[in-house]
Amino acid sequence: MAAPESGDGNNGAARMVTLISSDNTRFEVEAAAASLSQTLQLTILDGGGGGGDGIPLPNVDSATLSKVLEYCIKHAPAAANGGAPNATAVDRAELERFDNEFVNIDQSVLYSLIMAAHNLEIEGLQSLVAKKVADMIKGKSPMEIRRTLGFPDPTPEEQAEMNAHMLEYGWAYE
Amino acid sequence: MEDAAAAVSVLPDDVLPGILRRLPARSLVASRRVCKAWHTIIDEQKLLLRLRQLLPHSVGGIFINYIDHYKQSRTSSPGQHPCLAHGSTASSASSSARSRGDGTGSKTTATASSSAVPTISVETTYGVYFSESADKRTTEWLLKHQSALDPHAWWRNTRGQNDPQQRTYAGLWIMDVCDDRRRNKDSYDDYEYKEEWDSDDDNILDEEEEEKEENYFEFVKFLGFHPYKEVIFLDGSCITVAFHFNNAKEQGSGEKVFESLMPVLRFILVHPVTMVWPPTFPKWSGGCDLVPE
Repeated sequence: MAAPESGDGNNGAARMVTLISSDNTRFEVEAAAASLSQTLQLTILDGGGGGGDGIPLPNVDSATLSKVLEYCIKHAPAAANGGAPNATAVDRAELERFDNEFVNIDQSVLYSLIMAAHNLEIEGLQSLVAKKVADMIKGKSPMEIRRTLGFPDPTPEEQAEMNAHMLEYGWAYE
Repeated sequence: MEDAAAAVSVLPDDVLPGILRRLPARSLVASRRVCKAWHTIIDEQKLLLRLRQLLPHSVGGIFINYIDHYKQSRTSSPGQHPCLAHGSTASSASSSARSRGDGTGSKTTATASSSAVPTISVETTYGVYFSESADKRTTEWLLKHQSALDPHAWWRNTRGQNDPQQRTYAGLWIMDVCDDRRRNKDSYDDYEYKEEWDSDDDNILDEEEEEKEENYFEFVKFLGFHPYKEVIFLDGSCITVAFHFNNAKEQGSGEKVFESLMPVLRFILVHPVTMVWPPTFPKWSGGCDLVPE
């Protein structure tokens, strides 16, 4: 998947594009996979990213980009089919299994993925990581949420400030 | 690892809503207390309102009109049936009738003395009223949940039913009876306060919360759940408070419970539109027994 140097972007039937991570690693992927990114889609439609040019992604490092592309490659066929009609139950189950495992990752990686999915506007991946974080939040108390997501424990001052804030802005809302 | 974990807590503002809007109401409410930034996002994006499950932001007060057997037993015109036919309801919250001891309850208002405060007659339908206007001068009380709130109904309805699961009270409100026995210190200790409450959902109380319920049942009458489940209504001698679960969850037990009530109590004092008359709440802070007499 990680190809240090791209070909001419025209080997075989599928058109290839090259993406360049922030640390200058080049990734060659099928245009269809890269096009899951709304951000890249227009560039690719305009014929960019082929050949030796490549599309620079200054916000995404190679580890993250590799992970993102793993997702895109897996999901590209289904997306090309417009998602549903041709997909069999087996395919869908397989994708679901892939997704579940895909986000079973360290929080730092998850965070990078969230940012990358956001910057690249990959809708499916955005949903997937958002759902993962939401699942981490569900059923927890505010303090548990803080700890789960790595907030530092509030200082007494912060707690007092928060209490005052809650007092001012409406308990009834809750 | 520390750094990595911290990262998720500093997600940019335009990413957070996508996460938060996937949460069920209860988790959203908890998230609202995580930090100010989250609080702001949830409010600004109206994520809670979008669920149409919680109170609108504009609620200026809550008034509960419920059947008060205790008070009726002291009225000069007692009715056999402490029901709607009898005008002498106690407006639990304001209960000026009760606190003055006249017991007629004919025109109790839910207000304090400020001229800006709206009034409400308790000779109206039983139920829960919200005032939704931000403008305190023109606030009207709207009957939001008509229900003959009766702390004893639950007991009556469930007598003879051994299966706690069957002890459900018809309608959205679940009532508990919790005042008669506690007047008798001896039997109080035997009384099982931890009953099963359930509404149209079963996730209202977890064990942790039940333990706390036990503590303040010594002092406070439990009136019911808000149908939207995030608020319970409690009654003391002459004050009713809406009490939010999540506040309690972060508090300890025992007297701490009263601390957790304080924000609500203070709210009531700050916004007299909610029903405190007279404002006797200092009595609460000492953890004294609030059962009248």
